[in-house]
Amino acid sequence: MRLAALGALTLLGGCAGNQTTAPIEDRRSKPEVVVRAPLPVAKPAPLPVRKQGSPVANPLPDVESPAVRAIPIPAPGDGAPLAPVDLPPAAAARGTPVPAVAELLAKADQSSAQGQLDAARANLERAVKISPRDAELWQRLAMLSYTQEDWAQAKALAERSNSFAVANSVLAARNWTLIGNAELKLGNQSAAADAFDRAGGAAP
Amino acid sequence: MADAEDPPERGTLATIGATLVFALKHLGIWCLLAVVAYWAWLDHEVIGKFQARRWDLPTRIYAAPLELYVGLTSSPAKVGEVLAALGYRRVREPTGPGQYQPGEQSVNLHSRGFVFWDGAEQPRAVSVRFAGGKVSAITPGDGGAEIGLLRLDPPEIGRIHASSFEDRLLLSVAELPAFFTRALIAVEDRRFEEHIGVDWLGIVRAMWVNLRRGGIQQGGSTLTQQLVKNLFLTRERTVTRKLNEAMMAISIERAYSKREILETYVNEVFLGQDGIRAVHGFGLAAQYYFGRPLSELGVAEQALLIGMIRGPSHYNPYKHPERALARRNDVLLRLQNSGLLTPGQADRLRAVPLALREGTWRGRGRYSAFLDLLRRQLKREYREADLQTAGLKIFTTLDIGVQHAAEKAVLDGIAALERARPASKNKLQAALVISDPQAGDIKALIGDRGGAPGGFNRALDAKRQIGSLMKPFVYLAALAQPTRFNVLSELQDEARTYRSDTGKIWAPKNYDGEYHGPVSMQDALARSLNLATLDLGFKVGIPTVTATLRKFGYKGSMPNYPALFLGAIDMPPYEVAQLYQTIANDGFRSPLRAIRAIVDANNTPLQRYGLKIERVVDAPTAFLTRYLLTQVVERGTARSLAAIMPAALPLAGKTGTSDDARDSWFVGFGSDLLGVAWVGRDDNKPADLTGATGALRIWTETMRAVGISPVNMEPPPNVEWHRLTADGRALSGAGCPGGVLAPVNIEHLPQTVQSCAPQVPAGPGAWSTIKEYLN
Repeated sequence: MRLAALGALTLLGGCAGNQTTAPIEDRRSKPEVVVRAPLPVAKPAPLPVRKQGSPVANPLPDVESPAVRAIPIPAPGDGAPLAPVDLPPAAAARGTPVPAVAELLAKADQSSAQGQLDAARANLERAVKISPRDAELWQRLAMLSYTQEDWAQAKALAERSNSFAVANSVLAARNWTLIGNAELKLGNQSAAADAFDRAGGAAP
Repeated sequence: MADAEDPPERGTLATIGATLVFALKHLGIWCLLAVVAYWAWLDHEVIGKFQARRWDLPTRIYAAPLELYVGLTSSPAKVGEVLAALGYRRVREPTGPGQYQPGEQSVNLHSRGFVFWDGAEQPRAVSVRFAGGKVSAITPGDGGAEIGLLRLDPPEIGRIHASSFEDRLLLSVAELPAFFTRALIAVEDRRFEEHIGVDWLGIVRAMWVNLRRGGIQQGGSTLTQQLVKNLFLTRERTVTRKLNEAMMAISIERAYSKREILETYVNEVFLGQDGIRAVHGFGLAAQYYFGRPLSELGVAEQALLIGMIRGPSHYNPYKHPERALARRNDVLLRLQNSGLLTPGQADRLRAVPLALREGTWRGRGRYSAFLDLLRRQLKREYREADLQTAGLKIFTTLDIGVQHAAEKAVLDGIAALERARPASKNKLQAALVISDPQAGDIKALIGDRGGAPGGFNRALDAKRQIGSLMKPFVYLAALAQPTRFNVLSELQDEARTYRSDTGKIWAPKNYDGEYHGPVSMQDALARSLNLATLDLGFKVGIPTVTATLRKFGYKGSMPNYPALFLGAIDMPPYEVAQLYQTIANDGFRSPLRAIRAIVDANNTPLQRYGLKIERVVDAPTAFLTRYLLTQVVERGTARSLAAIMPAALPLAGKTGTSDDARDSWFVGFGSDLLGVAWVGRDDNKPADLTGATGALRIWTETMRAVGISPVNMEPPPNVEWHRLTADGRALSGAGCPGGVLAPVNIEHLPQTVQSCAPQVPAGPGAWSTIKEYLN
């Protein structure tokens, strides 16, 4: 009786199953905005494969063991390292921003354009004090940190932006791409691949 | 360095003449050559010293400026308070910087500009309107487009200076009001623009006037001579000195322009003594006597300052108001005689009473805990000597409004607590740390119940047992393992004894002495049950809990035995604030900071302390922990807070009471403020306080005065609200009683669904068998 019940459950489990592999997309052939598949619920998606046709190798280890964060195993392949990826283009218009934030953003743009990154950062930080949950402001800060080569901060700020961004939005895709690029700079190839994947496409 | 009036100049001229004649007659050319040589040497010396002269400027410390923006929660009264504290003058119609006019639903003000570390803010005349408890519009007076954001000048809260120091607020000639410059020249040195350093005509006139009027009415010193005297010479009033002074004045005039001389003069002239601090220059004098910049002073006030040149102590308006008034009116008469004022104007001004700055200057001794924190941070990177003399400007995060509210809450709170506890009269102490959870800005800091300067800074240094404040970290460590725990997971609140390695027996109890049996995680933390927490602690394990605290940044020592779970760790309130800040900030740690930026005397930024974040725990774990903490306030040991501030809910918090009620703690946060309050006795005797009765009250009073926004309870991705069975093991089936709505990490949602089929008398059904098997 027990075995039968177990067997039935296993079948059911098998049917629910792992999420399908995220489709491999070549970013360059799709200049317009990429709409991402929803995030997998049960288990994180396995890494996409580098070569055509090879089966997915080394899926991520089980997350069941307590207190240990899963570390993605690098995918095998020709060993070619990933390269930084351009961010997908930003969404067109912001929602109605707080006027103060709009003013500070404009100042930040101006400062950035003149290469005064510290001034731009100061303006963005003032803006974020006024609208702390504005995902775009956090992303701008992340991009600034990236430009200033502070990879760890760029990654953390992009993650922060994601906590306020709508899932699967263009903004989130930009964040994940930025995270991926930052991971590359930090030397974490596999974490970078994971991030690019979440952005909706593999690095070339 | 009080200065009496100058002796008349008549002796100088005669003496010079006589000396020359004598020299020529009796000693011939050699004497003349000697005099010339001496003059050349003096010239060289004076120019050299003038060139090398550098003012020692103390470092100025500023609190955070008020930023007015559309949408800011505020009121005309609150803004009026801030402006008054900044020394803005309340007028009927603002006409210049530093003036404001409060109204029912608006405030008209003319802001002063200020050069911040990230750019200059220009002075602006605006009308700020309010609606619905917020700023609704900021309209410029010149009819331009609406403004989104206006940053006021920051309040100055302290200085770092050498022990006996000269202080200055430097002014450039361009910053001097035009009338002031004309008045100064008219009163002190009529022919300033024309003479060569010594004004022979002026001397003659002075002699004439003094002869006619009898006694000494006018000195004939030019501004240049006064400057030279101030800078280089001693107080003796001898002929030699006067000769030297004249020669040096001429030298200065040859080498420097009138503009440069005037500028040096207005910044150098001695105008008063404030304890150990010498007040030099009109910039500082304006602040010292009137609490406002020179450019904002009226004619009568300017006249007083000019009048004080001749004798700052003699004419000190605080000590000798009648003399000061008489002198001022004298000056006004002179201005009238010079044609700078009409008789009517002068009459009117003479009738204006002396209106000096009130209150202690810069509230010396105030904000001592915060300034102490500041100094410790500065010491790591700056030498004391540089801080004392380099004229740096330090922009800090202190929020004056929050600080004042905190000070009052501590004072009132301690008084109330001691009234109810006569045994602890005058023995209770408190500390309070208030920060901004997003960026880590320290908004207020209190290290002593009375704010006494130089005392023990309990906020930073009082390491006290944190007790129940530790519990949320045990629960957080558990929630970080979503496969094993959710917020409803069952814990056993039952009697247990522990035997240590040395054989000692430890039989902990709950605060109420009872055993509650099976309780959910959320209830166990809300009620701060010791035994249930120990149960959880053992399930999670000491190493995991220790590692969690380390990840959060705690570097101190931790016990390697179960008392860890109940908070047998000592920490000062500042560290507690840093730990909880990460929970409040969705799992991102921002280092607490007190300094935003430091600029040098030329406003060049030296250092910036920007926003820094670091991911410590994932969003679901942080959220679920935050949720548990809202339960503490909503239903648990901090529910008195919910009763007092229902509009601010949900708020997150944790009460803490250590062994024998020696320490009373409360940590609480909303979305925009986080506070850690501690009450206890310095001699560490039991204080008969719980977290709820002591620290919570102070926290609540502060937040009520300041206004706190509810904590954000929007679940992150991967967390959803589901109805579960009371033990959290299964989803509650439709129509089943006893289901509990709780946030759950959906990556590990219970797979089983509780069935509530009507009672079947037969044996256990398939589902319940499976359930049993799986448990």
